[in-house]
Amino acid sequence: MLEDRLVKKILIAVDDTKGSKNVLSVFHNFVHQPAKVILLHVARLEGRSIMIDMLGEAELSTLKEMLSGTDHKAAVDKRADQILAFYSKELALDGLSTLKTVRRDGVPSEEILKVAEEEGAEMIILGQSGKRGFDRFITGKVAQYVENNAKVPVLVAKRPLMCEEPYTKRDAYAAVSVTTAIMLALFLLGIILQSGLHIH
Amino acid sequence: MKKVLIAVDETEGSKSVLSVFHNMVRPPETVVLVHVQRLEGKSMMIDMLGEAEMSTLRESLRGTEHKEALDRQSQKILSYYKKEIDNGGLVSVKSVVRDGVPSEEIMKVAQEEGVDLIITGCGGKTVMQRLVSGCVSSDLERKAPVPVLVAKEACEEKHAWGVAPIGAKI
Repeated sequence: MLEDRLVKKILIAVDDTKGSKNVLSVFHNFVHQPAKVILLHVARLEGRSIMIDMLGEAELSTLKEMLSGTDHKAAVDKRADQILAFYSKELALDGLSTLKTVRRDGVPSEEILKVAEEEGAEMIILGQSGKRGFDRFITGKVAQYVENNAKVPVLVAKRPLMCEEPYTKRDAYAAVSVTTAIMLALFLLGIILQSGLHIH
Repeated sequence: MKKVLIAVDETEGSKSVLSVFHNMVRPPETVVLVHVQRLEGKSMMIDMLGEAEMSTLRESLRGTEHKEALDRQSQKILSYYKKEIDNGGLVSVKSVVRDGVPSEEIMKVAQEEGVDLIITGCGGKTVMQRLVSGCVSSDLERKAPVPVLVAKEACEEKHAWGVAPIGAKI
């Protein structure tokens, strides 16, 4: 029976965002059931910082090294397992398809491409990236990077328009703190200039 | 799945949508086949034109030989893909010809027709343009309200430097 399947392997990349859930409806409605599904979650070791995009391979492996065995890493792993378990259940494959879950950590877009290549996936399905507002502006999007660099077809599941949140509270905080810093700098500059004038 | 929009152009890479459509996607009821004419040829200028200038360009081209040639080419392309897609009449295919900025026109058609999925190749731009702003597909991926499936095969060598866009042999 498995040989009958048109598509052999599909890679589905998921993360903890709401947008990622769209891969489910896309998978159920649009594509042929494949013989094998590879479910991938890339854990973000650095939490929500945007620093990871600036780290090289060496620094990343140092980070991995340092974190192995810590509580933080255990928590990240547990979370990853939860996410993978959730999606494994929701995918509800019929008995003829097999499922393989893969957990990686590092830069999501690069890990997705790596796993796709290693597993020989014929198609990649991913949600529109979890990155929003400020992050997206700075570093671009996972989906776009994967789409431009993958060798196989990429299906980008979209977030329904209702949940569109272009800016989060975090972005507001970032904007306010940057403005405050600039104003403070100007204020200090003013003081320095004034004291300079006094000397004359 | 009811409606799928398939965007095609004259490049060889665009043919990859066919294998993706046949092999990976569940058969839809209707396919909307879209070809966007590039009035300005292969120049990069079109991205800098506003709506007003575009309509002036359209106006001035109306009835000219250039426009007729473009129309003929569009018909050729669309009838080729239509034959490949309709699978002996099992799938109803609607062909749409537009002109202007590809990504925007594709999005407009997608909205008007209320499609569930957009399938596109990743060509449609020259090497230089792709360096500047990515494929047409990345514009779509950014802005489209529905899932976008980007077909990839036969696309890879086109990313290499010094390879001229392959002309249509349809």
